[in-house]
Amino acid sequence: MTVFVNNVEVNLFSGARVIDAIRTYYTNIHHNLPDEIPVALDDFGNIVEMDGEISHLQRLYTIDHEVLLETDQYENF
Amino acid sequence: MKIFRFSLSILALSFALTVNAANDTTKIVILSVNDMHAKIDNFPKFKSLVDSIRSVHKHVLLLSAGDIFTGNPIVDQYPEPGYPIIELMNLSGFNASALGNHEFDYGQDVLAKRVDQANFPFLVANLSFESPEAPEIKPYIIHRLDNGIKIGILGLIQINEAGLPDTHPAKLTGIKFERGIDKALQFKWLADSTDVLIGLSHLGFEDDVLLAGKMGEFDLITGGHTHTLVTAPKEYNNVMVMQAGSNLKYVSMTTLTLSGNKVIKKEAQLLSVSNHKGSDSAMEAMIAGYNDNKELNQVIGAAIYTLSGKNELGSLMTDAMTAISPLEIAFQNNGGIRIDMIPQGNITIKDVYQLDPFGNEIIHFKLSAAEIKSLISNSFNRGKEIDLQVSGISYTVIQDKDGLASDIVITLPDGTSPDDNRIFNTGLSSYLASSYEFDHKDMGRSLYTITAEALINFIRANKEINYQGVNRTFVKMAE
Repeated sequence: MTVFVNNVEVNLFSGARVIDAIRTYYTNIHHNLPDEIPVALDDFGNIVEMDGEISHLQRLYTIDHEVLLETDQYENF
Repeated sequence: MKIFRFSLSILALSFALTVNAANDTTKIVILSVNDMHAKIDNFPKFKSLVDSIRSVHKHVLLLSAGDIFTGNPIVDQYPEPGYPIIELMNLSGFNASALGNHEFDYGQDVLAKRVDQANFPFLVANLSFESPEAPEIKPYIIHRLDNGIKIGILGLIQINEAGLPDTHPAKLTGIKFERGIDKALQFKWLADSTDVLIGLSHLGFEDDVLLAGKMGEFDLITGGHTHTLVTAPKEYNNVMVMQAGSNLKYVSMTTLTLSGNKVIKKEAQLLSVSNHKGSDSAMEAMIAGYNDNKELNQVIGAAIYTLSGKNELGSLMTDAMTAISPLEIAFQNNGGIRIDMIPQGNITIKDVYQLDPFGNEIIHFKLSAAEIKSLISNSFNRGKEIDLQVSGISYTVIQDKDGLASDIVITLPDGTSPDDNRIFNTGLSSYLASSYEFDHKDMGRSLYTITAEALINFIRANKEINYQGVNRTFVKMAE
């Protein structure tokens, strides 16, 4: 299946989860995983957990934990 | 005069009715969780939180939006898989649960037993069983409050591009599925038969928003599948759409205020179970019992000799993967082998989860020998050393003077080397599949089997395990 992470097309095995999409994105772009996996957001600005299931053409965006915590919407999460 | 008196009576009655109507508001609190994935440890706090809300509000519905099972060996490896979490849900007073894709993971026979065990109905509108002995799954229920208000709850399950829920297809024999949104539209009439309509959805948040756009008859869609944390609840097409992460860390709380039988106000928020101070002590004792049970110490086989090091342990782990059809070759990265040895003697389920604790799924790729060589080569070049253990073949990395792989020689069990174009059914863990670079035309597919479960099944089937001296990976300097 194809998903988009930070508007970059990522091709994945079917049945992939959010963590698989984020790992593949970093492997494709940076050839390495970051020390701390960032938080993933969906197209609506909701946090999606790393074990969340994803579907074809879904869009995900990454945001660092520190940046997220500065945002009121997520302060309790 | 009679007419006047009659008119006065009507007026008085009408006034009384108006006053009553003005005060005739009903608040309905809908608490919903989703994707609990057999995580039972938070249930005492959860029960206490739910009880505290019930003590304040008269009308409270407790719902689950599916994926109750799979994710905790205490529950998944219980003699009756899934039994503990259904018991805890019964004690918590759930009113209904959608059926999630992982509810099929234990097989249909076990699902039927869990449905019978549950004091609440499982709901899905977009499936139909061919067998008359199938578990009793309803498309919807209508819950009646004591003041006559009727609440319709419609269940929906996700299906993937292949038209099936995300579980092993063999678990879905004899079941027909339809697209959830299409099926939901056929139930618009439920809104005319009820005062409140709730979608209990395992479609995923994006599809829930799509459904809300097409079916404004819903007052609330509370969903699961995508493990979405709706921190800032919103209405879409006047439908509140909620989801509460996963693993019983959060509960979504939606309060609907009705005037008479009309919803006039919707409020929603996400509550943290982990931050709740109270805890149900009776449930704590039950969970301590589950966690202290014998299941993890269950002996599933025996090591004839101590298995030690990456070669022996990795060979065992990958052999467990190739025991699954249709895999011929499997790889395991050294970083995923989490203990140094399994001592001679009995092997328990706990040993397996210590060896392989990550919960990775097995991903099936059709890879050519050349593509397999690219995987081995790239993995080797990461640290200039062997990183992948293997089953189905052995391989030799030819190392150049800089320490990098200059060639890979694959050897089949019969001692020959395959042509570069030959295709092999190859299994990789989901970690390896998503974080290692390798050439592959086939994008792969999950077999929806956790690697540790494959290992448990393999050891159970073989009983006596002997990997003394097994090594399938070699390095040779280029001449």
